[in-house]
Amino acid sequence: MLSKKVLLVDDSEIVLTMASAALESGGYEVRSIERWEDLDTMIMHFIPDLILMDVNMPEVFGDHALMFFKEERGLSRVPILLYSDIDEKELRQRAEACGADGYISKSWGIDRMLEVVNGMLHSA
Amino acid sequence: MTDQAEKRKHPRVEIILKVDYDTPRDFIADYTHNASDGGLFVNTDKPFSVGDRLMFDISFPGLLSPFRCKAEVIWRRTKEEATEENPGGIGVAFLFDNAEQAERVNKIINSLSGNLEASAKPTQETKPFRVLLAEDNHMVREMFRFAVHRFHRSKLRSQRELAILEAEDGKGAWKHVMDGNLDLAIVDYYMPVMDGGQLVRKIREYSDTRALPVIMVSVGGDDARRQAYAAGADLYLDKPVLLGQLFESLQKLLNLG
Repeated sequence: MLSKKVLLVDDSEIVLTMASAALESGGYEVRSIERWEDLDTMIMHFIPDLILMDVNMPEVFGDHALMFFKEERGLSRVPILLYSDIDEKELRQRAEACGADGYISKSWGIDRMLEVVNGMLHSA
Repeated sequence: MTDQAEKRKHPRVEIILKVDYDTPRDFIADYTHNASDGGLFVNTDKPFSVGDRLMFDISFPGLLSPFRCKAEVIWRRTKEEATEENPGGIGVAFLFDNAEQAERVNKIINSLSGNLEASAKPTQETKPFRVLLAEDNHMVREMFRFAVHRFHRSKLRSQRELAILEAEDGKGAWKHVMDGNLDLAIVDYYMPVMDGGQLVRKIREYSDTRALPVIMVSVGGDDARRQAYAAGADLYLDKPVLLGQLFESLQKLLNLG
């Protein structure tokens, strides 16, 4: 059975390294982008089953970019979760406001992140 | 209202007045009617005399940053002379520092007036609201355009169509500016060939475009903010841009007509 694919969007190399390692250990195929301009090249050959999107990205906030992903880049059927270390209440509000499929607070830790991803992808 | 007394032999009272209007209509009525009738009316019991100079902070939140403008008291109606219809107060006339300042205010006044007149006519053809988007990062530019169009489609009640013109550097942006008919420019500060500061300076130097509202955006923080305002930008927004701020400005501008 093919691995499910997860795309990480985050400008922090540390976050990408840790989250990628955790997700790969959970059996997922993982790719990441640190800059918006790498999106098109990435999705030309890697259509993810789930996207984890940081909020505090440079130039454009992740939650503001979310609908662009869905409507302009053909990713409308791909669940997108906001993945951020901002205050959890704010994160929940921003996720609801932007039409995200959910959120994961980085403060929850890697294990819980993996649990949520598992829940999303195994129920899909 | 803040009073700042001077210690002079014949003390003058220098006052900064902050006048808030509930709606654009109130301001227009006051500005256009009273200005032609002898000055902007200020309801006050303060003992001003004709010829006194006052300072006004003029701002249109979300459209233009505040700027300070001198005004002169040109008539006074005392408490004793006041009636229910004509309350006591003073009439003041703005004394703009330069033609550019006057032109920028008058352009907004005229836009507001035009919009109020247009709102009385249910079906009026209007030209698209033309926005220049100057941003060197193509993906950011695309996301910006998408967000603005989406907002325009889903949230704005404006009857006006929205046309977004794009440029990836200052030179391309200047070409759009010279082509004319822009209603607003959203300009990234850091761009190749000609940066946003240089672009805005050129816009302000050229008489046909001097009054074009410019929103500058940048990741450059306080430095870029200072330089943006020094160059003549009307509004500066930090990147990542809180789209709500940008939309609020756009909504106001679009509804101005």
